Amino acid sequence: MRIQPNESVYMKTNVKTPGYNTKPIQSELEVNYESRFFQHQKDSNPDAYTRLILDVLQGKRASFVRDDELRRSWEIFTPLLHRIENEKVPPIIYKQGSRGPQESDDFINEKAGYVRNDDYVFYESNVARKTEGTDTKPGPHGPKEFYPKEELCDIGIFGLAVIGENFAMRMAEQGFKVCVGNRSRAKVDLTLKRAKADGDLPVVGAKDPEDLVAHLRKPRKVIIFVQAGMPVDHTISNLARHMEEGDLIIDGGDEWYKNSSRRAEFLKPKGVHFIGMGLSGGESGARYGPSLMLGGEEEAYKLVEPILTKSAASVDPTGPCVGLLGPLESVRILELFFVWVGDRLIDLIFEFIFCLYFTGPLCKNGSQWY
Amino acid sequence: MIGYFDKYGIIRDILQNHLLQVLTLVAMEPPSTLEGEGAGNAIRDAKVAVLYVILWRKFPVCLRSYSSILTLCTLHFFCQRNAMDVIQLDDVVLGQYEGYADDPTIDDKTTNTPTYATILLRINTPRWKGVPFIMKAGKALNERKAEVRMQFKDMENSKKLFPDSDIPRNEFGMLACIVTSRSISCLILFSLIYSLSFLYSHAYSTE
Repeated sequence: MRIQPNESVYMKTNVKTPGYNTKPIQSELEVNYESRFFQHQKDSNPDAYTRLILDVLQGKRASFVRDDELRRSWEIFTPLLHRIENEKVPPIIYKQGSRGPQESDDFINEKAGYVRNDDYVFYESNVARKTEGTDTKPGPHGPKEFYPKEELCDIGIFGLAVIGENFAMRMAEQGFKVCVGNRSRAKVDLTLKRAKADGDLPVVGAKDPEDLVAHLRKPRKVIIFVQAGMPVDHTISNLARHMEEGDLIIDGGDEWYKNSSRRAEFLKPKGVHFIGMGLSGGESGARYGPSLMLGGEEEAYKLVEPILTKSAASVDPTGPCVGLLGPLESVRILELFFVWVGDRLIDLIFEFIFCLYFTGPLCKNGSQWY
Repeated sequence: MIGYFDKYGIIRDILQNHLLQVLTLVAMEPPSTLEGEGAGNAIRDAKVAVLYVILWRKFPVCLRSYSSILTLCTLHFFCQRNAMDVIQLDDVVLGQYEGYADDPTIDDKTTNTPTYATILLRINTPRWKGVPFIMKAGKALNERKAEVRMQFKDMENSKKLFPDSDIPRNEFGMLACIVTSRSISCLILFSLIYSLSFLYSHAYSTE
């Protein structure tokens, strides 16, 4: 039962590995208050003290400590506190930002038989909390693991569906070292295999979001290509937890513009930049040079400009097909139009406009075609 | 401003109040009602009963077999003198983070005030027989969260069924209950009736 932050109840459980494998793997059954009850509503879970003060006004006593409760609870602790103070029991020194003294874990293991299992960590299904406070502040540290400098990558890609995989190949082909991650590990291995077959491209696999972040050179840059909606929120919160100020997350999927604004707001207190990217060209476009439209702050765009410029499609007279169009929302709205029309139809529309232009109706001086 | 804290320590600051509240709520027997006029007292009666059974440890072993709350209360008033400590020193691990005493608001530079504590408690009811309750709180740790964690016992023939070591092999019998808080300062009470769900298509979609 998680009380703070993001109230939720979850139970780790074993399930059959999806697919043909019969091996059990860990997963969880969960209810997250924010995402289950408040995601699509204006109000959020009221703050604990808000409810407590309301209880005072309404004369409800259940949440308050009764006198006998207070006496009994001190009776439990006072003798211990006196002993600690009288016998001057020295505390064990532990490092700031650690899990606390190792002796504590040993003690729990020995006395209670509790074995800490951190092979699988419950991820927070995290939608930006409206209550000020606990979870959006910058973490004290980046990722736990460290890789030597020469192994670090230029850019990360999370989400290896068709577009993600192909765009990773494209960037690797342009000489950038790419680290790829995906929620299910199998897809990462497939991508690595493909990178090898495509000419030993510099692609590195990460086992989870934290590992992906650990693989990147500062300022870290991650492009995510996951399904719009909740999965994007999951991914962003999982990545951002290990990121530091000045890092950058690019959402490469199509998304409703209000969601994007909300995510940018969520990342702001951490100092992590967020920009949106529209990728046009489909599967082959992503592999051999897409057209990239970006929306966000200039400062953030500058971080990825060199990489994207080289990876985008290049047309001789006009240069690379990439640009910062304006604020975050602008790209999202443009995408709406693109998704709606489809790439092929766009060709047709522009063909049509050109026809009108050159044959007369849109041209002041009459036809210049001939 | 950590100066105020130095006089009290983590046990008074978090364990005695916040974590003990969560612990009593988790460990209490169902109160007679949750709604209406008597609800406040019904819940708190159930919580106080937990405190009494924790305090049970004060009494000599020969008297502990009387299990009703009334007997315990009576015992409580008459046996104060030869009472033992409920929490012994070896049920406790104390810690202090590096550089705590360097804070300018702390006068005593050799201070022993714990900023981290793990305490083991036993709740002496048939329901919680053999289940250790562990309270854990600390400052300046890696994560900022408050939670209740329960671990179930290993299933009988589980090692044979799941030889892989990274798979927990548990059945529904409680092994341990851990109440933790890491540098937090408030508490949310909730009751929940909701079914848990797990969808393969959601959990393992290929994004």
